[in-house]
Amino acid sequence: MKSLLRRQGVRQAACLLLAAALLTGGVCLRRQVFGYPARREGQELMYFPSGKFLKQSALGHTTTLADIAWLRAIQYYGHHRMTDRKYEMVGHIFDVITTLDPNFVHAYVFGAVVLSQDAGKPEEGLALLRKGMRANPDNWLLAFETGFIYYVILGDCENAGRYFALASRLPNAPDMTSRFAAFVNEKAGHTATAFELWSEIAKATDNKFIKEMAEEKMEKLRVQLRKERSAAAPPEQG
Amino acid sequence: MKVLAIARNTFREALRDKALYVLVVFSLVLVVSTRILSPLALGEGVKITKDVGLSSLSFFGILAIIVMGAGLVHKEIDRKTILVILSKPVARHEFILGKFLGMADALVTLVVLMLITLQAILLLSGKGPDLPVLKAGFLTFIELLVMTSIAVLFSSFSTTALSAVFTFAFYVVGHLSSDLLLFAARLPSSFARQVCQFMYYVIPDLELFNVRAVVVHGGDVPTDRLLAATAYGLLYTLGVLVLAAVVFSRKDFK
Amino acid sequence: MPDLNVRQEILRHRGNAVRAAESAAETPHPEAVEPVRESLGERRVVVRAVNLGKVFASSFTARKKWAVRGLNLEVFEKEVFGFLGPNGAGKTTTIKLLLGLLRPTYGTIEIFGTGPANPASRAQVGFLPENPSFYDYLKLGEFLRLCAALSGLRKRRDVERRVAEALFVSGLIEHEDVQMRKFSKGMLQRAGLAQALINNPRLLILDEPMSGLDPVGRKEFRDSIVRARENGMTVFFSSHIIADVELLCDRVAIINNGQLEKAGPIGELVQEDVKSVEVVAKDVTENAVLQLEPFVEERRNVGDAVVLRLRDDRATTLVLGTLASHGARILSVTPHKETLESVFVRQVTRASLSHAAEGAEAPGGGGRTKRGL
Repeated sequence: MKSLLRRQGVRQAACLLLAAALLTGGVCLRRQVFGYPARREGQELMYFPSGKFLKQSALGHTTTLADIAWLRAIQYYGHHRMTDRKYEMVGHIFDVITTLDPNFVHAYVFGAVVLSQDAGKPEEGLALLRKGMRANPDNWLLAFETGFIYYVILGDCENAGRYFALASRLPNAPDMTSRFAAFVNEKAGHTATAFELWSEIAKATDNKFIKEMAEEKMEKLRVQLRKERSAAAPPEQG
Repeated sequence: MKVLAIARNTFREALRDKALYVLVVFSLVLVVSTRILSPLALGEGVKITKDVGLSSLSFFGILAIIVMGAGLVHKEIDRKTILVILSKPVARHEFILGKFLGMADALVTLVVLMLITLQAILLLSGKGPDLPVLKAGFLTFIELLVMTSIAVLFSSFSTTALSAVFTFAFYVVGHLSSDLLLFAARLPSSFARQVCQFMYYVIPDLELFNVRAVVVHGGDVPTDRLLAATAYGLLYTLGVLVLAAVVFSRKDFK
Repeated sequence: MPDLNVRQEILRHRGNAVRAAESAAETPHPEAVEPVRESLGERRVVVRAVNLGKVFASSFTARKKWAVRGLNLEVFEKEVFGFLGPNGAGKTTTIKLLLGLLRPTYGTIEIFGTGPANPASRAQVGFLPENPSFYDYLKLGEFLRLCAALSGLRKRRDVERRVAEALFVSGLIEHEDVQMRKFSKGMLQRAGLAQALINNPRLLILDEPMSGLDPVGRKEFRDSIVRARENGMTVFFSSHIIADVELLCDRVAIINNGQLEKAGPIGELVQEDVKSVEVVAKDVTENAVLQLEPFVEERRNVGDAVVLRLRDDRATTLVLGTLASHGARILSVTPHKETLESVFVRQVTRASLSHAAEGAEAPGGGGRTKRGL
């Protein structure tokens, strides 16, 4: 045995085996104790640290970190949409993204939609949009989204009208914003207005989740509209 | 001119330094790979590419400065190559200036490569040539020039390791410059407040060269902002270089 | 080591050369107008150091070390000057002071009449450091071109011409495109000499140029120095190898512990010291020995002969006469001129003894032990 060990080739092979065994052991231990990433439910918080000193630690790369947080937000949303449809961390995540990059309009929009529509927290969604409007006072889309949420989700026509009107006055606002301001105030055909709103929201973004959501909603509203129209149609005379 | 001869030599040294190649290649690969992530980004792919491009320009730029610059002078002292150079009729300040220009030259190459890559990717994704991105890249280059001058200063009297640490420290504090004043206001001891205020004035405010937040969202950089930041950067750089020349001219080579 | 007679020849020859040069310089050149302060009697002074001192203070321990103290040095035009001293004597420090690589603590230096703080003082100077190392990522040609540019050559034509000449003279033409990290020690030394000569300097300063070279390398280098001198260059080199200094130099300075112990033409330095005479004789009677005692420094028996070392060469005739009258048979009479080596060793040990004594007397003298002889 000793003479075998004395040969250098054998010694080196033995060392390699030992190294492999140790490393494999390490990997197994890690899996046992810490679990797969997907299993770490309660530890999701660690993906999104507290925003307190985030800007400082970014050392000027705030927008890039916001991008990383954005990608993670999308993964988070997609994952929970497939599974339990519970979006507990959404508010925090989008708060982090928008703190890092206050001009990230799309983050405010998506965050607000998810909060209002999926998470059932429209107040938080509105708060996010208000944060966005403070940082981007000239952005028509944020005002428009606010109006949208007031109308479609909260049924608050007055505030909706106010925000649609505000949106229409902001630079580069498309004409439809003033149209909606008018519709809402006329209280003309809630379902039709809601349908139109969802259609505009879908057009204003490249976000495929929002587009899907809008399609779903529009489908439901189309059915409802047909029902309303047939209900409103005069009964056929015999 | 003797300064240019030294600059050319420094540039050649940078070119033949494998570590720098790795940094440059890695940064370019990183930017190109953001295109692969683009489908996951829900329409924000272009923003991410611009962000990563400009951020890695700044980040790998400072890494390159630390790798190259920290030992810029001290390596020559250590290996005694400096004895041959300074035994020629070369003034000390010519040496320092030449070293700085050589490094600046290498950084120009990095910046140009990165900006060309970025523009190429943007063109391929269907967006037109992006002038604000070029302006942001230019200001990042000025930021790197400022950091280079600081690295040269530390390298002229300090060892490679210490110089690297100080340069990095300046980079970190430089980005926290505006927060320094906030900290200063909140700290209890007046000595600490004064230290913060001192650091605020001495250490350059590197955030002045950061226009990424505006540019990646499609905004433009006004010319006067561009000129003011450039002037600040160049003034600071020149000041530090003069200081480095003075320090270096008093140095004894044992 | 050439034997005694050859050495004597060299010394005599050199003495003649010095005298010849001196007499030649006495007849003034009709066109040259020599500023009075530059010419010290016969020839122009190329390097002058007056009361030079340099202290190194280690900032952490606040311990001061005087590397050079009260040094006075003059190097004349077109001579080969040897700077001799043991390791740590301050040779390299002095050279660095001359080149502006160190700033003197006190004293003045002039190279071609200009202080070393002015880079122009080095326009005509070529320097080869000890154990040179160059940019190992550069090829030889690139490096020489860099040195040429730094020497002030602007036009590309001039640079190329000088580089080609340097490559030819140093025998490294084939290695022009080889990276210097692949060079052997001998090649590095040749490359070093090439860069020192790149600007056709009038003063060549070499720090321990032959350390680490094999005998062939040393011979080649010695030839280079002789060639340089023939081309009208002044050569100043430091060494701790006495044989080289003896063979090449016109004038020598011995430095020890930062202080100049002796300086002057080799002939003077060596002649200054006591000449002794060695007489080898047979059949020397006891009577003879007794009679000769006052004249004899040392007596040795070698086989059946006796070797007598006389204190004073002037007593030689008397001693020989006495021996002859006692019937001794004289085998040989050899005058012993001190070699430079023995001058050097004696100077250095005498000096270090006195330094040790000083050190022991001074308060907190550090308890330096006397170095054994």
